[in-house]
Amino acid sequence: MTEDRANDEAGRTGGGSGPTDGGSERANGETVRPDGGAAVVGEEAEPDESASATNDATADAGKEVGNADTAPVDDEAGSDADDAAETSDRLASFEDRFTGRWNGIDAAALLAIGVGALAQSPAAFLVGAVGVAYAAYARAARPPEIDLRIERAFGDDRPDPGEAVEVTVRITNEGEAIPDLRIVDGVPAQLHVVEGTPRTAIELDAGETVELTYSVGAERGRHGFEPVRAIARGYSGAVERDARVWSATDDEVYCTPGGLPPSTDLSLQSLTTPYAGRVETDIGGDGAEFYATREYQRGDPLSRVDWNRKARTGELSTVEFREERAASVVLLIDVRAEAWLRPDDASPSAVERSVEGAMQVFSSLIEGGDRVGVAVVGATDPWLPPGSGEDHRARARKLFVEHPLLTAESAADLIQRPISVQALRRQLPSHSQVILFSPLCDDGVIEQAKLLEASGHLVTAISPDPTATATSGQTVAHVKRELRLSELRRSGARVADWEWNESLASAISRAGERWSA
Amino acid sequence: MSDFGRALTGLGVLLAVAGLAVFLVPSLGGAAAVGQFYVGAVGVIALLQGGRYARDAWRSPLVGADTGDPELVSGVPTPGDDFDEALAATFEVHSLEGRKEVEERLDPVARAVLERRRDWSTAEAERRLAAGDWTDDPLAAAFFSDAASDDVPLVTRLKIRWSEKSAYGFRAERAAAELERIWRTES
Amino acid sequence: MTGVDRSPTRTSGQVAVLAGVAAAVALATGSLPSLALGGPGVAALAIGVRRGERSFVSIGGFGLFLAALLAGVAGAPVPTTLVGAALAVLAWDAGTGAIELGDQVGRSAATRGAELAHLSGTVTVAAVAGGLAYGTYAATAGERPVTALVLLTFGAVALASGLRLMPVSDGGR
Repeated sequence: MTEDRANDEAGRTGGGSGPTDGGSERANGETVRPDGGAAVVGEEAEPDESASATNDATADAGKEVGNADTAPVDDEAGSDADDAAETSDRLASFEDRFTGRWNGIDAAALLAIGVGALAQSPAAFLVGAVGVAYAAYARAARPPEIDLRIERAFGDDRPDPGEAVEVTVRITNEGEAIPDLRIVDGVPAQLHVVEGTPRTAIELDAGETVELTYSVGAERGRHGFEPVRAIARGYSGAVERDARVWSATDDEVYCTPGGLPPSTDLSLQSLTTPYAGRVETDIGGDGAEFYATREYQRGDPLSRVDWNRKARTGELSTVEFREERAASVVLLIDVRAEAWLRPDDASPSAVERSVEGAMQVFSSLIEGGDRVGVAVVGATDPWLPPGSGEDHRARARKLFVEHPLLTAESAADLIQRPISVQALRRQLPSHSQVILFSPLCDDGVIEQAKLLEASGHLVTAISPDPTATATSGQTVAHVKRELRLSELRRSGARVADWEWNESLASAISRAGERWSA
Repeated sequence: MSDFGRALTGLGVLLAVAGLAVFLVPSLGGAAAVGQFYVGAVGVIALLQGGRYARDAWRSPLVGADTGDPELVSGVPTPGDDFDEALAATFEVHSLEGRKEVEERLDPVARAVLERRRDWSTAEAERRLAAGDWTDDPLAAAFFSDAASDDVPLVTRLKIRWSEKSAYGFRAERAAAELERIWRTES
Repeated sequence: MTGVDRSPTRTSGQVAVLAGVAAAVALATGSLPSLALGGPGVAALAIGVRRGERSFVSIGGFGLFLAALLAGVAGAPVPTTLVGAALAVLAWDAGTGAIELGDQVGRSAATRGAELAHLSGTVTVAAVAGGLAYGTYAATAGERPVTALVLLTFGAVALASGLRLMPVSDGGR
């Protein structure tokens, strides 16, 4: 019982208690309600769709034309808010249906009457009479009007990623009393509930307010709340009205890390050394000073070709400038649809893991004096060419925190983004090292990594592992991913397998041991 | 309520009121001399009607709003979800649905696992898969090899029959588990 | 994580089992043989509420209802039969409600308010209808002209048929 009380987070303010005798809902004895049939809503709702209804800020405007079918249809939204400017227009849609809850009571009544008549038993006959009363009670049911005011308050307006945010939903009944009101809050699609439950079933009298409290785990990005699902029934429960109600407040959880994470000891030397061709000394120096020529590689811009040399010797070669010889690293984040994967229903996705990892690595590398840039697989924007310094850090932070492709919002409409290796190679400075953040759960990204490796960019892959082994399918996916990792390793790239519940530091040091072995 | 229903209800009210009236003013009762027979007759009608309604009520489901799962993250799949769907389809006894996808997934994985973990060539791996001697598990072997399906022990066959799911599905499941085991434990 | 716990809700479940037991016991005091139907009825009801199987709950409730009819025919006093039947209906209603609310809202949510409101409605109908029925019966003790009985019986059948609760088609789930 204590558990029950603990769950009973509904705090009540104002309003009465006990069942109000809604006379129309309960029939006594043999009174009969006319017309209990098909048009349960039709007889009440005044379709009021005139666009000039802006002045009608009464409950009438709140009654959208609902779809009342006797055959309950799955979730047809009512007519849209053409009066979107309406403040009282909070009902997004509603649908009425018969629940069939009391089905069978009429059969029981008839059985009792039959037995009473045949066996001459007054007791049985009277039981039948009570049964008839129940049938009338169920028949007389009407779906209640739903006129609720919903407000949400958050414990922490700007949470950090992973923090639990307390959500308090206040529901005020501004219409008639509802004996049986079931509420399911519209938790954003990319957030999951960590404590409590966003559901309740209450009796809400007119004017009464109830609060519902639960906690969600914050994830980076903006997360808007969906409308509240409100399911209302009368006392008998034979008919229900299923509505979606918008909240009066603009509800959003906006979670953004305050800054780049402090550079931690990520043992990154294993990531960036040994790096063939990296020159430790010549970092810095302004201007595009000519440094050396090297053999031409496919994809090098034609403006860099040493035409003099070509004229002289017939060889193609590319001129390199001094800054390029400084170590430049590009963090390449996989944000394609194929990378949006998660191990179970309550975890963030691999893309978010990748971005977190990229932020940590960025921070550490930049502290260490390397020139770091950011790119994504599957699009040419965002793109931050390698650089260093405070300005560069600020730009990177803005990109990580605000770019839509790098947050959970883009999971809402995933579009297929084909990989264009050409475009990527054109972006990347030649000889820059690539650190690829990807779950590596499809073959396309492996191909690309191999191509990059072959064209002179040393590829190190840090791969968060979203596979599980709970079902057959997950097991197969797990094995396939391991096969891919092994294939990538054989092509010369270095791969750090980052287990889901592991810190990045430990994943890199584990991999570092293997690389230096 | 349909018109007929309304009429019946109205009639019922009238009759009930009339009956009550006769109770209160017994003199009216003499007017229509009816016998016990009618009571019995209507009793039988009631039972038959009741039986009909009961059958309909038994068949009709309890309907309510489907509230879904807003507590969970949605829209982002777990790797292997599509294989699981196809596998679930293959458990249907008389249907061929899903088998192609399952095979397309498992065949290359099986070859790759055997090649890498056991250092077999592709040809060797294919031969062993077709012969069924790459594993001790008879169900797993039977997925890739028709010859090995004879080696499935009787008890297992009976259990599969009893479960009302297709043998193909069981074999696919075991094959996947066995391949994962080989990958994980052998080197 | 697999989502919300959709087992039957606690309050209605407890009311269902208690009402079922009370019905069986009350009917047994009126007529002991009714326990032959009442006992299994309660058992089926309890299993149904525990497992979330609506068919068991319906069978259990129906068994208890039959026990009431049996008791009535076997000569149990009218009030006892009425009370037993009302408790049977309450048990069935509470059991169905527990399963259905558990499915929509889940067991771990705060649902007691709505459950009690609904059950109070059910109890009120039984009290009022039962009271009126018994009152009419008791008031007319002595002379029961057959005509009246015939009229009433016809009337009751007509009403029960007219108030027919149409079966719902499965589209809302």
